[in-house]
Amino acid sequence: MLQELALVEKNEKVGPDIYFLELKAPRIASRAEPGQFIHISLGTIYDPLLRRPMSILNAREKTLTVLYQIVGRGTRIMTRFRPGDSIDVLGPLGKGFVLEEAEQNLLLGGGVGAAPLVFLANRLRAKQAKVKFFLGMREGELLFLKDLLPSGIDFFASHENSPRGEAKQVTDLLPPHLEQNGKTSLYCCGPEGMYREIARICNDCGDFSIQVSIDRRMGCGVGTCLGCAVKVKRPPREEPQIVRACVEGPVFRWQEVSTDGF
Amino acid sequence: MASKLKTRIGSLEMNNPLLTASGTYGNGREYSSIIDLNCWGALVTKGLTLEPRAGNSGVRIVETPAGILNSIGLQNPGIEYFLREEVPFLEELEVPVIANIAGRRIRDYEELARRLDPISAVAALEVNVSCPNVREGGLAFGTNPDLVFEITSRLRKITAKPLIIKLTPNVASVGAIAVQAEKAGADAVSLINTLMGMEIDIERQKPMLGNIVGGLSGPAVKPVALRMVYQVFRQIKIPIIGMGGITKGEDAVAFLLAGARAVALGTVNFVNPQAPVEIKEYIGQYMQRHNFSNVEEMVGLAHQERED
Repeated sequence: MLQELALVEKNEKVGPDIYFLELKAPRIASRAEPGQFIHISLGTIYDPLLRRPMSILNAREKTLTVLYQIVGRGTRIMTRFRPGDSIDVLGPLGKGFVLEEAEQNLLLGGGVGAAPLVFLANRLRAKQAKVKFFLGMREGELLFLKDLLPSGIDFFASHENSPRGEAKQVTDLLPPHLEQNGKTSLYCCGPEGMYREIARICNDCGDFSIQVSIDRRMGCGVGTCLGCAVKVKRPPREEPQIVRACVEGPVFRWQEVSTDGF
Repeated sequence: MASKLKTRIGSLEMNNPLLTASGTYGNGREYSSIIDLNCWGALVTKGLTLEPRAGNSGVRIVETPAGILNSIGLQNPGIEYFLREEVPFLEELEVPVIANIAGRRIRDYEELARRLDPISAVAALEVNVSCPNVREGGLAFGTNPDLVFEITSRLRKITAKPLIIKLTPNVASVGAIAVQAEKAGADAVSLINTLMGMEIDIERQKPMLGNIVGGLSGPAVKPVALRMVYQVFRQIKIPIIGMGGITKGEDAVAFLLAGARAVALGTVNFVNPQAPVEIKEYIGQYMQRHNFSNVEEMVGLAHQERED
């Protein structure tokens, strides 16, 4: 983990309540891996008190980008960052995606939370891997993400508000892509309900693995407060363990995560 | 300048009056890549219990105005793991380490003290009789002056290491309890643990925390903590470690003037990991401005009869 004063280069509205933040943070950017996050100080001393964890949309050389949506006071304050401002950032934090050797890599994202998959797609394509990107949104508000993807990727989108007969959920797009030989790696960023549905669809499909990014309320973001507990079961241990989304996650293998009570 | 920040709690000498508040700093490891751990006067570990504890389920942390509510539930890997995996790391540090212990029964505390007494990397024990988040977190002891006396005197027989009793603010008179800790041989008291509170999610019409209630910390509690330190200072002679919402240098100085001989930083670590460095610098400058040559001179100074 590093602490760096990052220079705001862009903070632009790119959709309804959706913003694109570009930071110059060379030390963090050069170490970041897809699925990791940064913890941003809002610059407010007392209220809101805590930093805000933000997943990394992309990291290239000296630049980190973040996609965020206004969901509360913290993110509203973030919209006031101006180019030239310096913000205090901790990162890169947590454990990101494991890039697997697979016949095909299916990246499934729901809403703004899909951001880390853009970074992942770039890394996978740099290894010449076969990548399909599935993006679920309300009505096309995130289509600009397609322009941030590297070339050579098959892109599919679902729209909740789409007319009858077309895919409404990102999981509606999935089944035809599972009918093939060889290993399929799925990388998912969205709500836990989406992960459950993906696992259900994959269930009879042979050789596949599912990695997911788990979202929890965080306090410190670095592993000390134990606020972001995730219950996991890791054989050969019989009994579940409580781990931290901010250190042992946020990316987990779906089959090890138990969602009852945590 | 550095030497004038020295202070002591019983036989524990510290280079400066800043401690980590238990449960906000792990055992220091996590922050060691961005801060020199030796900048602290002492590190206080996450609360330790005999057996591993999974902690509470459901939402454990909620941000509130100028504060946070937490209900972690003393999650920790237990004393065995601590001795095996954490002590070797702590042994390498120059900064003294204070082990925070919690139990369900008096004999749990006794057993923990027995296990930690021979460990040279543990300079002192902080006894948590005040966790608001678990039934067996000692709060049943911490709200009862007789039991605080009992537990303190039993631990006193087991260890010569400095004993610090961490008290809860969730009682009518924290002073009466501090007095019993002192009588039973405690070297110091820590004031305050978190204040019980709750938050409700009005859209879901449910309490926000999985445990329903939790402990409030952060700047919101500072005036309450400061008042308690001020009042307890008049009732006991042993040192007070003041804590509760300290965010900047001015807050730390206020606690010293109220009667704390050392102060602990908790929630602020989550927000500003450089806080100990900044606060230490402020205290040094403040002492220079007011011509104090050591921390001791400031302790309780707000109690002197005012002439103006």
